Amino acid sequence: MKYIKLVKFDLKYGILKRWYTYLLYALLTLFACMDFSFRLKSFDITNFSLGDCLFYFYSGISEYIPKPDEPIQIPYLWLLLNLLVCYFNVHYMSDDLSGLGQYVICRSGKRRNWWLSKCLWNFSSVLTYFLLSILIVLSFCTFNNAEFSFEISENMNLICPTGAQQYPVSQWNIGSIQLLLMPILVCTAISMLQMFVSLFVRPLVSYVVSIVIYFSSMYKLSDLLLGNYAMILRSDEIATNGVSALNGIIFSVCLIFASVICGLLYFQHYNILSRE
Amino acid sequence: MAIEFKNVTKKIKKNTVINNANLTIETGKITGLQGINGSGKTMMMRLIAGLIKATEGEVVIDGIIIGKDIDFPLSLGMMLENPAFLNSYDGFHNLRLLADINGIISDSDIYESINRVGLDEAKNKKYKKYSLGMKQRLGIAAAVMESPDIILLDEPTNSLDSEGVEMVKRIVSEEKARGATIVISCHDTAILSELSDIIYTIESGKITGCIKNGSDSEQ
Repeated sequence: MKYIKLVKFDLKYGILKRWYTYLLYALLTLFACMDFSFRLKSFDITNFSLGDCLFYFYSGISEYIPKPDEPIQIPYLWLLLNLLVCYFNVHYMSDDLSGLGQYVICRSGKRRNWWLSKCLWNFSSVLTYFLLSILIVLSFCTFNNAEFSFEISENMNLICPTGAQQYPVSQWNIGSIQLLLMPILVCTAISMLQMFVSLFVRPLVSYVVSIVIYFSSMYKLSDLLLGNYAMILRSDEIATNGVSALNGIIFSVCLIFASVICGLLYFQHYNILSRE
Repeated sequence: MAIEFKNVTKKIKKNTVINNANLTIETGKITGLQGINGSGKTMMMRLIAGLIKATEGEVVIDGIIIGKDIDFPLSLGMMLENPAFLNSYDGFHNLRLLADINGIISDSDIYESINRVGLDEAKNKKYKKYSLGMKQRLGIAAAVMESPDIILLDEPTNSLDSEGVEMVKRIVSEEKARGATIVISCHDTAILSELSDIIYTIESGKITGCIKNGSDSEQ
């Protein structure tokens, strides 16, 4: 019963009362949609699908092979959409360990209740950011009479400047898993890891962990760098040496569970002190 | 609710903040904690609240070991250091969000607590517009509103004017009369002597003495 009340508390104060962060994220998505629209216009393309738009957001970058005359084409939109979620989520748990939060913890009855409630909040928060983003994309597609399918059109070779040209679209076999599930799952796993790390270090330092994961993934195609699974252009359905979505799902789920369980065990003995 | 410290040592990183403390806080009594800044008064309160766990020894409340049998005392009200609430909420809503978790008091109980600390005229004012004294009063209201068995008050007279200090004295006496076990730390020795049934002196995490009903004894 106390757990349900704590969950309600976190959903109310961690999501509803932080509505402005969700609004900012929705606005960013809207700007990204407009940017997509401008790019389509610049290539005289009028038709596109829902899949095209999601691909534009979450394509990331194809494998980067350093060459002296070819600097990396940084996938700004992909980085921004993922890192902003992590940034918005980084302070809440930590803030709730001081001030008013300490009164809440004492009322939670069990340390376990408090940590599990924060984990559920974290998952719900990431999901809310992405669902909001998808809602904006759906509205944008409706407004522009786009085709409601996950089919990627040939034009995306032109539109995406981050290496999509290397692979002919006709050979792509991607769907909702790569376009929707993987970005959400990977971001949830990284945000959960970040929350666990912030039990040891300051929130902004734990945010650096997320930055390192996403940036290192951008530079190196590797099964061990989680960010790769959130980039559609790194999928083995597109690139022959790409990463498998199944591995990504297993990796992300394991990381989520590891963060929840390790956090649970560590928080049992955690010193709740003032951070001021 | 008797609280016992049995050979309690607390180390944070390499610092020993509580050093082999042994004491019994009697049920229904007011126990004062006296000591300079950093002596370990607040740490003792955090140990009772379950916010930190003893490195060695046990903190026992009515036979229940805190941090082992239960994580936090079942009936506890506290105000540790400077109270902090949500800036965008008024006093009433800040208290209600806390009260909602336990769900044992009604809105009228919350209003009554606000009245008790003299914030009735400011109950609808946003917390960010509160003066330091008003914030302190709201912290006291939060600590006592649910009529808990144990009340921990860390420097309750901070930022309060003479009228506020009298209010603290009155509330502490009323809570004692109700049967609550109260632990207070205060820099002002006169106030602490006036309120407490027993005063423990803490130096560098060690209990170095206690004064009980006028008699002085060394531990």
